[in-house]
Amino acid sequence: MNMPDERITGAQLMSLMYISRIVPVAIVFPTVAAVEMAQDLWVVSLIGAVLSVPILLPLLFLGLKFPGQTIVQYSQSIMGNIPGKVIGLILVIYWLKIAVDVIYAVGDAYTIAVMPETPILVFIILSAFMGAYAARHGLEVIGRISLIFMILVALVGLLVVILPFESAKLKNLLPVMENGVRPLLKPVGVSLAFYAQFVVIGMVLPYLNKIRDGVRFSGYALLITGILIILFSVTLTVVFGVTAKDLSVPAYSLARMIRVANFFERIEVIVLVSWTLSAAVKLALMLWASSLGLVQIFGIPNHYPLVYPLGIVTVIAGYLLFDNHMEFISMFLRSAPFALLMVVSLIGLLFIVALLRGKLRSPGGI
Amino acid sequence: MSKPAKTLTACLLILVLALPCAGCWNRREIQDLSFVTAVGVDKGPEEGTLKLTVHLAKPFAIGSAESGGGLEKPFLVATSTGETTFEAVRNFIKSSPRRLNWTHNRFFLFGESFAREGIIDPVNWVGRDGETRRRTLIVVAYNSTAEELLQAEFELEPIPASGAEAILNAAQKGLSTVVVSTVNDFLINLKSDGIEPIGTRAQVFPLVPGKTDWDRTNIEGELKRTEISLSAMIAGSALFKEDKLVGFMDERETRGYNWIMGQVRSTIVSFNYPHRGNKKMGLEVIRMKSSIIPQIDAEKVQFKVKIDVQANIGETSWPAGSHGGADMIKMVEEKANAVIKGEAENALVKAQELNVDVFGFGREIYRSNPQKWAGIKEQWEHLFPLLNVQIEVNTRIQNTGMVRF
Amino acid sequence: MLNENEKLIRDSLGNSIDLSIRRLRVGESAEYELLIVHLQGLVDDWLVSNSIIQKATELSRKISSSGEIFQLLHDNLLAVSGLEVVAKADEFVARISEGYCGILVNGVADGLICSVSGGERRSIEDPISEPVVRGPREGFTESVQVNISLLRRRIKDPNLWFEKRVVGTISKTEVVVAYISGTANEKIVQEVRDRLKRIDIDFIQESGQVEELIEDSPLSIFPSIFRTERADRAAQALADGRVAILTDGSPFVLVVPTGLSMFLSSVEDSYERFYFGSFFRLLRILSFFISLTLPSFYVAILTFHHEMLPTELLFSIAAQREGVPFPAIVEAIMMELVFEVLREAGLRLPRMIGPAVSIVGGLVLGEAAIRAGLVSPAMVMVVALTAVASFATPAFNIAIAARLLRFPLILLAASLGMFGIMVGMFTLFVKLVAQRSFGVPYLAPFAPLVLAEWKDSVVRAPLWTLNRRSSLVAKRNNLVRQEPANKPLPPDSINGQSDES
Repeated sequence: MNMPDERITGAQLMSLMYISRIVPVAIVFPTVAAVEMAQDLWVVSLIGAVLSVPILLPLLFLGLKFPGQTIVQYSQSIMGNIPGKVIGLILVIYWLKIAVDVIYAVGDAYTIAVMPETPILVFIILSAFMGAYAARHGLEVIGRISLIFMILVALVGLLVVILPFESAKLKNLLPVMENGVRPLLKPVGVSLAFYAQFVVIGMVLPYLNKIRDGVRFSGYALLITGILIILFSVTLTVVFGVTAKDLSVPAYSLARMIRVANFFERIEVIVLVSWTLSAAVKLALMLWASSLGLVQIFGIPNHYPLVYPLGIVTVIAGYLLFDNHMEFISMFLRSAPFALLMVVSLIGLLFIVALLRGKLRSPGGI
Repeated sequence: MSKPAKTLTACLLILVLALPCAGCWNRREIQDLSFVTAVGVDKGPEEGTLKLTVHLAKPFAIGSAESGGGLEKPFLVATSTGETTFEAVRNFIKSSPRRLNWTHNRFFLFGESFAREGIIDPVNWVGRDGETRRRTLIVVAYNSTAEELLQAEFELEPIPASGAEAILNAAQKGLSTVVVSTVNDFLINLKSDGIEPIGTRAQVFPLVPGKTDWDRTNIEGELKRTEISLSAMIAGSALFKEDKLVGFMDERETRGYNWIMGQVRSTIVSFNYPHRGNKKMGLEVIRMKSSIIPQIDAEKVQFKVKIDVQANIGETSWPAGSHGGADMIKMVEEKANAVIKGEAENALVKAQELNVDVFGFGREIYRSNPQKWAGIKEQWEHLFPLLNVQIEVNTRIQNTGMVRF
Repeated sequence: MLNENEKLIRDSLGNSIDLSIRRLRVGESAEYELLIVHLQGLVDDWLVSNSIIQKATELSRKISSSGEIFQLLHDNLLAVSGLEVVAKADEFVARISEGYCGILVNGVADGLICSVSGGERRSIEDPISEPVVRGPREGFTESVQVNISLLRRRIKDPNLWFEKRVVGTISKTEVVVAYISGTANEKIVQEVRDRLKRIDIDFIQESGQVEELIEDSPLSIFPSIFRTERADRAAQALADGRVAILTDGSPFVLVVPTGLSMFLSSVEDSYERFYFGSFFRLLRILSFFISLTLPSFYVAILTFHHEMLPTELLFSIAAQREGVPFPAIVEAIMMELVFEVLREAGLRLPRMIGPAVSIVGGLVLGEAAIRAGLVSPAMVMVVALTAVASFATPAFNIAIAARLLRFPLILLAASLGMFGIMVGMFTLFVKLVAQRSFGVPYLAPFAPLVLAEWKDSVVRAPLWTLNRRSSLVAKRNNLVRQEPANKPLPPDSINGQSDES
C-alpha cells in the first residue's frame, strides 16, 4: 500500500521512544500520584523499566518478521482482513487518546504552574497545531527534530536531576518498601501503561533504514529512559521527601528548588522548554501514527489531509474530556490498567496467532 | 503545501497575532508590579484574622542612588489584613497601586504570638501558590511581632531582605548558631511522622543603645541614609510542635542541635583550658559529621549519636610554643569533647522538656525499622521526653595554626 | 548581395547607433568585398583593427574566387582565438549582438564569427561583501569568462567541467554550470541542468534572479542556495563536490547544494589555525541564535517570567523602566524597527555619509530616547547586542532572515511568553528540517544528525583529520580527500641529530 519514500535512522527511533516516554514524566508524572510512599517511587520506576522489555520484545519480533509493514498492516495479514482492521482501529483510537492526554497535560501544567489566568484552550490549540504541523511533514521530519530535541530535553532533564542537590537529603529514601510488594502493583501498572505506548513503534519500524538497528536502538532507548526516570524519581524523593507525592507538576517544582552558588537559580523556565518541545514531538508522532493507521485501514491515498482534522479532534476531546487536574489524573490512573491490558493482549494475540498460522517463517528472519 | 493546509495555517497565524490584543491573561509589565522581598504574619486586629506586613522594593529608589536621590528608603512597608493568608494578600490591592509579585520573596516572618497558634495556613499557601517558592525561609520573631521585626534594617545593604539573607547564610556557614529552615523543610517535617519542624529565630534590637539624637547620625559612605534605628539579630532557632510554636533555643542550644544533626559547617568552640590555669583557648571547627544510630531491641529504644569533629587550634591566651608535645593535644581534644557533648546534651534536654522531637529520632526509628515504629508511633509523645540518647564526641585537632601549640 | 546583407543586418538591429559596419575591398585589384560587422563597446577595438582588418587587408595576392578568400580567412589569416562559421542570417545577427565580430564575404553564403570580446570591464577586485583578514583577495567580476578563468586557475583538474546555458529571452544571459566531474553527485548536476532548463523568463541580470527561479523552497525565508563573491570559496565548494552556477553580469556565484552550516561558516576558518576556526564557528552559531531570539526572550521575561532574573538585576531593570510609557513589546518592536531603518539608511547612503548616519542614529538617537524616557537603557542594550550579533553572521541573507523572524517571535513572546517562543521556534525548526537544498537536508548535519560531519561544520577540525568529503553532497563512491594518518610530524633525523649533539 501507500509507503512514501521516507527513512529514519535507528538513533531517530531511539529519540522518538525516549521523548514519548519522557513527556508524561517531565510534565505531570502520574506515577507519583499512584505510589503510596514517595520512597517507593524509584523502585517502581526500576521495576517498570525492567518489565517493559517483555512488552517490547514481541513487538520488535513482529516488526522484523514483517519488514515493510506497519502494525496496522501486519495485523491484517495475520488476523485476516476484518479482524485486522478492527485491531488497527483500536490502536488508532488508542493513539488519539494518548494525543489527547499529552495535549491536556501540557495545557494543565502551564495553567497550574506558569500562567494560571490564561485559558487552557490556548495551550491546547497551539500544542495541537505544533504537533499537526510536524506530523504533516511526515515521519522523516518528526524523526529528525526528535533527535535534536532529545539531546535538549535530556540535558534539561540532567540539570533538573542534578542541580537541586543543595536541598537533597539522601535519608529521605528510607525505608524502602516498608509494606512489601503489594502497594507497588498499582504504580508499576501505571508506569507500564506508559511503556505500553511504545506500541506506536509498530508504525515506525518499517521506515527504519536498517531494520536490524531497531532492536539495538530500542534497547538504548529503554536504558536511557529507564536511567533518567529512576534518577528523576530519586531526586524527587530526596528533595521533597514525603511531600513529593503531593506535587502537581514535580519536574517544575524540582527546577524551582535549583540554586547553585547563590546566583545560579530561577532556571525553571528551561523545564517549560522541554515541556513544549517534547510534547509537540510526541503529539506529532501520535497524530502521524493515527492518520497513517486510518490510511492503511480505509485505503485512503495519503495521510496528509487527515492530520489537521485529527488535530482538531484531539483539541475538542482534550478541552471537553477533563475539567481539572485532579479529574485528569484520576481518570488516567483508572484507565491505565485497561490500556496496559489492551496493548499487552493485542500484541500477545498477534504474536500467538502469527505463530500458530506459521507466518513467522516468512523471510526476514532474526 | 496544499490549499486547505495553507488556509488553516493562515487562520492559526491570525489567531496567534491576535493574541496580544486579545487579553492580558498573565501579562504583567514590570513597571506595573511591586516586588515583595519579605513578608511578616501577625495576628489581625480582630479575632481569627491575620495581618500581613510586606517589604515592597522601590526600584527607582535603588536605581536613583547614583543620581543623588539616595535619601529615600529603597523599600516600603505595607500592611493588609484578611481572614486567610491569600485573602490578606489580595487585600493589598486596596492600598497598593501596583500588583504584588511574590516571585522574589525570600522570607516568611512570623510574630511569636501568631506562631504559637499555628502557621499552617501561610506555609501551605507558599507551597501551593505558583509565584512563591518552597525555598522561602521561615523565621520567627523572638519576643516581638513580625511587623516590628520588619522595621529592622541593615547597614550596607539597602534592602533588608538581602541583608538578612546574607547574615543568615554567613551565620550558618561561620557560626552554626542558626538553623536555616525553608518552607520545603518545614512542609516535609510537618508531614513526616517522628519529627517536628524547626524555624529560624530572629530578634529585633536598637542599633545604637543609649543614643538619643538620631537626627545627627551621619554615616558617610555610599548609602547616605541618615537613620537606622533598629536592626535585627538572626540567631537561634524556633521549635514547633506540629505547626505551632512551642519555644526557642538560644545560640548555644542551636549549636548543640546542629552538632547532633551534623549541620555544623564551621564554628569557634572556646573554653577554659584546665591544664594551663583555666586560661581561655579557642578551636576552629573545620568540618564535622554526625551519625544517629538507633539501638532498638524488643522493649527498649535508645539512641547513640556519634559526633566526629575536626578542628584547628585558633587561639590561646598564653604564648605559643611553650606547651609541650602531642599528648597535650590529646588533652585539648578531650576537653573539646566534653564541651561539645555538653552543648549537644543541653539542646537535647531543651527539646525533651518541650517534648518536640526536632531531631527526628522517631523518624530514624521509622527509617531503620518501620515495623517497630508502627508499634510505638502512638506513644512517641510519651517516649521522647524520656528517650535515652548517648552522645559520643570524637574531636581531632588537625593543626595549630602558624605557630606551634 | 553584400548590400542586401548589410541592409538585413541594419534592419535586424534597427540601424542602432552602436552598430559598426566596415566595408573592405581586398584582392590584387580590390575586386572582392568584405563586410566586417560588430557592436561598438562590446569588442576589443585593438583586436578588430589588428587581427581582422589589418590581416584581411593584407589579402592582396592572387586569389581566384571569393570562396578562396573565405577559406583563407578561416584557415590561416585571422589572428583571433575563436572562429566559427554561421550559415543563418538570424544567428549571425544574434552573435553580433552577443559581442562577436562577424565577417561576410561577397559571394559566399556563410558568415564568419570571430570572438574578439573586450570593451570596458571592471577589473578583479577585493570581494567587498565577504572580506577576510587572511586569504586570497580575488573576487568574481561581472564577466562570466573572467569568472570561469578564475575558477580554472584554482582547479587545474581536467575534470572541472563547465556547461553553458542561455537564459532570458531578451537578456540572453549566459549561465554556466560548473562542477568537477566524478566528484560532484551526478544526480545533483542533472537536477541543476533540469531546473535551469525550466527557466522561462524574459530578463535576468543577477544571479539572485536565477536563484529565485531554481530554489527548492521558493516560499521559505531562508535561502536554500549559497552565493559567494569569493573565487576561493567557490573553488573550495567545487572541490567538496558542489555545483557552482555562474551568471554573466553578476559577480555572485551560486553554489548548490548548501545548508545552514555553510551560511554560518567563513573561508577564513580553514585558513587560520583550527582552534580559531572552531571557536569562531561556535561563536557564530551562538550569535545567530542571539540575533534570532534575544529580543523575544527579553520581552518574555519582562512580561511573563519575572522570576527568571536575579533579584538585583530585576530591580535595576524595573528602575530603568520606571516612567517608560510603553509595554515591553512596543518598546522592543519600536527599537528593532529603528535599528532596521538605521541599518538600511547606512547601507544605501554614499560611503562618506554612512558613518555619520550610524553616529547620529546609534549614539545620539539612542541616548536621546533614553533621556526622553521613551525606552529603557536595558532595551537599547538588548537591541544593540542583537544587531551586533546579526552582523557576526557571515552571510548577509541569512542574517536578514533571522532579523525578519525576530518580529513574529517578539509578538509570540509578548502574547504567550516562553510558550509562545517555543511555538515559534518549533514551527520554524520543523520548516527548516523539512527544507532541502537540491535534495540535501538544509539542517544537516544537525537534523538529520551526522556527527561525523560536525568536524567541518560546527567546529573546524585540523585539516589532516578531514579525510572525507561530505557524503550528503559529494558523489558517494569518491569521498576520499586524503589518506588517514596524515598528521604532519617532524622528521626523525632532526630530532636524532639534536639529541646527539
